[in-house]
Amino acid sequence: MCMIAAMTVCLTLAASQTSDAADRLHAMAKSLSPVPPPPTNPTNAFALSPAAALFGQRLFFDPGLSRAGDVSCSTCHDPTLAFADGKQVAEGLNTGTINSPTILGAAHHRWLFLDGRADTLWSQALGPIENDLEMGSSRTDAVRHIAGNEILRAEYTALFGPLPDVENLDRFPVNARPGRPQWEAMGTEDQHAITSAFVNLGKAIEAYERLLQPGHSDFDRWVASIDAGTSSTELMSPAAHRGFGLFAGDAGCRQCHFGPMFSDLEFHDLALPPRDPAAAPLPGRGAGYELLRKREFAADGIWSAAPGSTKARRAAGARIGPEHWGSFRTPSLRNVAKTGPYMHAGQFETLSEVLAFYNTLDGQVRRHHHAESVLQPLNFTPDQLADLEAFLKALSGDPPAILLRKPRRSNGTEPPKSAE
Amino acid sequence: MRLSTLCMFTLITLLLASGCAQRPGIKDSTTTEDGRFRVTWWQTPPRPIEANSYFELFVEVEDLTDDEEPYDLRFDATMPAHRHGMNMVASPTRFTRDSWVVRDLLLHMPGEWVMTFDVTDQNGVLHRASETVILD
Repeated sequence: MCMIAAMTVCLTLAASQTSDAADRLHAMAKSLSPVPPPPTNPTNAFALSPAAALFGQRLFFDPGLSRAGDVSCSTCHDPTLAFADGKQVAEGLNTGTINSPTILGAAHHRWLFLDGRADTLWSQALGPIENDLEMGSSRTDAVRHIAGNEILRAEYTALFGPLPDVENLDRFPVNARPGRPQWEAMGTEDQHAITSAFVNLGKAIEAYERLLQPGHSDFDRWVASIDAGTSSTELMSPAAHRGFGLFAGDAGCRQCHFGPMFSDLEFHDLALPPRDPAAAPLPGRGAGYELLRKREFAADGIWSAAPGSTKARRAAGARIGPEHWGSFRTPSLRNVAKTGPYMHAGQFETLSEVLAFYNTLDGQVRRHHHAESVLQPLNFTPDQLADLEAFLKALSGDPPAILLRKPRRSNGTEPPKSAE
Repeated sequence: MRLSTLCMFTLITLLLASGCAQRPGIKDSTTTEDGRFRVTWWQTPPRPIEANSYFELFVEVEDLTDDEEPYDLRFDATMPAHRHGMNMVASPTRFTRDSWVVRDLLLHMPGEWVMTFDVTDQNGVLHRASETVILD
């Protein structure tokens, strides 16, 4: 009798512990899904404008914003590759040093670029246009491109008002951008007019990019089933379920990859092996912070719609420390299966390689004694690594197809060739 | 055992229902390592602190020995196990002769954080109080 009672207690306790573990796992899952709307951005008065988003979508796919007319935002953020580019490092007009991150869910990030050199999405969007490694153009020529295109000009003026008289090449020279003699030769008012219009382009691109949310994934469908009280385990594979258990538990992934974007949105140094051992080490946030401080288009600057906002104050309050040298922003894991190569310099081609690194930390290179020490080797079995990978592959989901291409005109016809 | 479990469950339920564990405005307190100052802080929601959610502290410093006005307060938080601190500058703004507001604090990762309150007295001597916070 006593033995039966003891066994009953043991079984009850075991069942209770199993139930507790499942409850904890479900609570963890619900903290990761669904993806909420991105936080508001008061520094961009057009962030939520559908007309600005449509205009921004047109700009995003428009190579006319580049120096030679052959590079657009979508060159490095290709919708068919989950808005990454499938390359080790970005290739615009020239080859860069950093892997192109996906921009799906970019509006959730508090820092833009992997080194956090921008504090708003609109200011990020302006950077590549004038970067000689990327689009290599100038703000003056970008505005001239808008003015010279019937559709773009009409959409711009409807949103933002008249454009400067950029056809006057004496006042608005070709290639004029800060740091160049053509720019310095311009009058202050003309410089201001060009920069004002240029900023509007960035704000329209942000309006579009805010719509690029990660789509519903198998993981999200499973979490929704928990909320519905059904907890349909068939919505993810058994391996993915086991992988989620590891992700939320022993693997420790959630130290940095938590919240609906599976990212703490901040910077870490994993002491990754360099892509090119002969090349100078990348400073990451160490340099990104300096660029942020000098940035013309800051959240608390004159081009911001809300320089006194909480967002702007917090961006200005960023701290840099010695541990930030060599650190890069934690990437979101949503759509991670589609966005290889991985890590800030594309060090790993596949998810398997990424997990193999975390499993052993082989090849880690500590570049200075201030570096943080977040990682410990996982020492997982091959089956456990496969389960983790299965879970990561369950995080893929596309945004609506209408957002994945150059927009058609509102009447459903393609724009004329002049807008291509 | 069942009765005691039931009693504990009831007690916790009553505490949670009364909002004691979550109510904003509840204060925490500690003293500097040398016992000179008592540091008391009130925290804005979210309470308890959540990983990667901004919060603010209202900090009061009381001189337990000389009743002297503290000269200055500095605040910081670090993760000793990870060897890093916050990614935000903590800038206490003086509110009264012995109180400060610290805005835009962000403990960006789960795990063990150590919050430090460094009180400088009128002679320039530093007195440290610290508190460990573990975030889920």
